[in-house]
Amino acid sequence: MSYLDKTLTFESDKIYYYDEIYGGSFEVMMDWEDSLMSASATYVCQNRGDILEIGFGMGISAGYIQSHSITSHTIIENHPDIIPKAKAWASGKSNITIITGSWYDVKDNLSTYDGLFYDTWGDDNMNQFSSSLSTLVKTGGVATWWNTLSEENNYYNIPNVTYTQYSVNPPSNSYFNNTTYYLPQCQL
Amino acid sequence: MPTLNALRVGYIRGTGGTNYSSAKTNNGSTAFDSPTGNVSNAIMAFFSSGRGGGTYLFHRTYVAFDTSGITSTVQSANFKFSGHSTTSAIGILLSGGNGVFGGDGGTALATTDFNAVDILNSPTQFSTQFSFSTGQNSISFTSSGLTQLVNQSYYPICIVNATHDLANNAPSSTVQSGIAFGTTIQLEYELASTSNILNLNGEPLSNITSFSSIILSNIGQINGISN
Repeated sequence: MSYLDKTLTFESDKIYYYDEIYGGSFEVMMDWEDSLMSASATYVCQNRGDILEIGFGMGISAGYIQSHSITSHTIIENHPDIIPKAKAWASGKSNITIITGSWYDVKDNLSTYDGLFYDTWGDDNMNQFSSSLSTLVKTGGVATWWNTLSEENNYYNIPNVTYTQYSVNPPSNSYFNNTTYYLPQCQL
Repeated sequence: MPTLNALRVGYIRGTGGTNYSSAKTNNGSTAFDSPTGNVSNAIMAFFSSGRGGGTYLFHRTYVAFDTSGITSTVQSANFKFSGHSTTSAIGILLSGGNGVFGGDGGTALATTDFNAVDILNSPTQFSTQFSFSTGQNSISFTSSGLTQLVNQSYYPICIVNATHDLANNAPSSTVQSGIAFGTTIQLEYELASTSNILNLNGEPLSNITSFSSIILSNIGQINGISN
């Protein structure tokens, strides 16, 4: 059973699901990341213009992106439990487009963007992210993504990336348990 | 063919984590000693792609035998167990490490036994790789496995996923193999034949297949000497 088949539980401070085979819970996103979401939004919105956000999650980063003066905000979300929440959140906001499904399946129908924030869970196509960057981001545009490695490196082996360190204090969780987050910054 | 029933069995759930090697070498998180039912993930390589990385988790099964009664050369042996609800996984039998189950089968399987197999340091392979079956599995032992049957009076075996646990090949999805622990796990063996006749008319017995047109194995004795 894949992540997309899991029933998510939404609490005020996190989204999680229980995996029967693993015999435990996986946190998908938690509110301790708030400052990191804010910093990520600030980075990808530095050129204003058109912003692509892959993965809505708790909508924290989406809220911060909206706080910047941008032209458009395209959000791709694939989990059936999150999609209605993303649509409800976007309701009444004029510059937002919600696209449902896998980013990889729809990528050929997307535009190119001034800023990209990639933050997914259980993404079967995450190994295609690196090679897709240049087709999604304009020359001179910027991209960042959730960096699970607590070092100046990234899971996707994307070159020419700089990092800004942030001190964090996450509660024990299934995806990040370090005290320094290295926010990746990549200019195309 | 002589058969030994397992002295003690169990499986251990490792400690899940985002680092592949650590998930294979850390102590276990839960040990299941002497299970009696069907366990669908007695051997497992788990992967969840998670958030920009992934989570790994391994399960290993240990089975110990009292082989003190085997004192002469073993010609062949098979490890026999009933499978249950397996995915298309490849397994392998490894030397389990002599400390498992307290070193004599008298102690319950412990979480610290998880890496008794010493997975990163080329543990002795008691079998070649095999595909799990949901029915009866009968796995042949290698010559290394046969030798240790004689040399060791306590014989622990560890069953792991060969592709992702023994080999340095991180899983990209979860594969699990089940065991019906309610069916006794057994070790079936055959001793090498011995004969009191060393040669016939100057010819070593090993070079002779028949005598007076009678197949040698059908001859009980020659001139009063047992074959």
